[in-house]
Amino acid sequence: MRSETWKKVTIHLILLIGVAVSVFPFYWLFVMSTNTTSAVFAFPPKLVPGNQFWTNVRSVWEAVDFTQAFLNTVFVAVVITFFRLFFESLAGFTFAKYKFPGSKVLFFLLLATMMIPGQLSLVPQFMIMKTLGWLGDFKALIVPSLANAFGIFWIRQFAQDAIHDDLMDAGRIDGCNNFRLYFNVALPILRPGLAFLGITAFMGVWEDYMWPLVVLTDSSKFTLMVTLAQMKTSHTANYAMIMTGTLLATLPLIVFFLFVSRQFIAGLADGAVKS
Amino acid sequence: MNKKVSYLIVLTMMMALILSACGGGKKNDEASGSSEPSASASQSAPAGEKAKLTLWYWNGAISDSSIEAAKAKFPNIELKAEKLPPGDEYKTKLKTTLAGGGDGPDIVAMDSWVTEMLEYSDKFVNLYDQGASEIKDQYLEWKWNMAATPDKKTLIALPIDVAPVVMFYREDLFKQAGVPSTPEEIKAKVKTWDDYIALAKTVKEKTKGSMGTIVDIYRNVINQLPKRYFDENGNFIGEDGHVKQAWDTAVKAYQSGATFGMSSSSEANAALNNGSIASTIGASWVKGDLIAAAPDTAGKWRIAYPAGGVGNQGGSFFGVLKSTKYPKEAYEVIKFLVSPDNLKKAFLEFGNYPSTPSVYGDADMKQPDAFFGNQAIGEVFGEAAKDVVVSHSDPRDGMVEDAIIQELTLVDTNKKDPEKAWKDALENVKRNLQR
Repeated sequence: MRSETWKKVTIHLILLIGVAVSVFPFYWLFVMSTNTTSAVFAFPPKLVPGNQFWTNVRSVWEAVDFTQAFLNTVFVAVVITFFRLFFESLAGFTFAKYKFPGSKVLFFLLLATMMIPGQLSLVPQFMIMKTLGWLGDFKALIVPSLANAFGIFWIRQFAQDAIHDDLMDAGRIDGCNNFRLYFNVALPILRPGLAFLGITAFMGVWEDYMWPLVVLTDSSKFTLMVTLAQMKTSHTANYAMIMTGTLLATLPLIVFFLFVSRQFIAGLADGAVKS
Repeated sequence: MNKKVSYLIVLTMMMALILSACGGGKKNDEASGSSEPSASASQSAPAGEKAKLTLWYWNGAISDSSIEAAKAKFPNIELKAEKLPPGDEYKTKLKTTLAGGGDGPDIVAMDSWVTEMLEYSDKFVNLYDQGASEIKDQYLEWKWNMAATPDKKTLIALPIDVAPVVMFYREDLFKQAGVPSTPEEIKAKVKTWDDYIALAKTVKEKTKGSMGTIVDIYRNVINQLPKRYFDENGNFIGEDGHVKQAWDTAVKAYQSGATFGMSSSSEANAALNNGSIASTIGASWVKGDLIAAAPDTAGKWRIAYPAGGVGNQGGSFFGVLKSTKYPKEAYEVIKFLVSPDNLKKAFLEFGNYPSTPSVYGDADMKQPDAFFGNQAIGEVFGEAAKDVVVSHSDPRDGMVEDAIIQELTLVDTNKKDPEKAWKDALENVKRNLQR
């Protein structure tokens, strides 16, 4: 019994250290956003919150159109997440459960696109957007992100194990066409996998910086990450203000994660174990 | 069944939302255009319509009030100024737009990397064609020439500010150490790096206040030289002796014991605040960092003309892209924005030092600065700005410098033998250049 208690204490101690290490950056972000820039520079660093938070928030509001950027980001993130979930689950399900001519080649080609570094496609993709006349428009952000090879791969792996062939047959006997097999049979089973995909997709859009920076031309359409960077100056910067902006931009993501974290963790584990 | 219906409703709503949001812009354009859409595309803007100009800049490139003033001054121009993230990100956006041939802006701010853009001079309006020669005399010659092609026939941008590299020092610590401590004395007596290192050694021994790090010194020296790592034809000239000279100066400063140890930026900031650093050589904009990092030392710092000559580190330009429909109007706008009065405004508002010597003597440029013990710091910047030495820059400079600094750092942190480190640095540079 004694050794059991010790084990528990040790585990909790390790967990506590882990929590402290991962929470500290957020805590420090919070501390910096409640202090002045001089306090940010101080050494040893200041570790208690100050009283400058509202002053800093006001500076952020004066410096950039934060609300607009927030709404822009939410709009783009929600649309992309929704369509990615739809297209990637559809494609992943098809690759997992249907045998059709060329399916292996197509899947291989899909995986091959994952090997190309994103930086390489910056200029070509920019030129495509230019030809389509989409520069400066949300379309340039949304359309290229509507489906992603990783997501399709992820759902395929998930669906292969999770959806039994017997279930598919049962559905067919009940008169389901292919789309209804996907919609009524596969989707409910894929839900944990979709939760994981949804969060990563949402976070990916939220944090994306280079592409929106390059294709958006009008500051009223900037996303949060670009707007945050707008506050920087070439030399001396008001770091307290930038940290406050960063905190405000990160908070919604944290709240969102707290709401869906259950599904997220369930999804991770489901993908890891074969049944 | 209910679930399915609700899924479908959501899907339809999302579709409607995305379509309406994306299509919005186009519809408005069509509505405001002529009644015959087929003809409107080929027609140019009717007479009397405003010239629309888009300007890209970053926070602190130019005073926002100057931009407002330009809007008021040119009622027939609709100026749209977009504030973008500064630094490499800005450069990436500009280069991608130039390479991709996008509908770029009309006017762009550029940092001292304007020299890299000379390669793309065909994408810029030659400002000499717009009459820029007329205003050339108002600007520092070295600054003006940075934006001109080697044959001096094409000018891609007009100068905004300069950033002369000067010496920041603690007057109280210098006094305590019994070394020259007024800006005038320092300019007269501390002329070479040997003078400065000897002075810094005394200060360090008597007050514990260091000079910059070994890497700082190297950067300072190389920045003061008329040559850097490549010549105009792109040949590597790092073995010609001048780079080794900068290396040796840095090593000498380190061996004298006067340099500050290599450390994190927050430790260096703390050192500025607690007297562990008594002097540092840096660009005029370091002033802002100093005020933020060392609030406890207010009133104790001074600025002096630097030992060994004046380098420049930063300072921007305004250019006009060839894709603009209104080159003449765009030129008028940038000419106004970089006029001596507007550049002075930027100095008074946030410390960017103008590239127009005519304002250096103005009374408001010589206002006493409380952080610097009421010294008229603008005067020192002005003196230094006129003496700036610039060298040919190359896109590969950063890579070479990183390789050298990596080894130089080891001389301090690992006590590596300086000669061995120099050899290794050169080897690394050459290996990188062969790639």
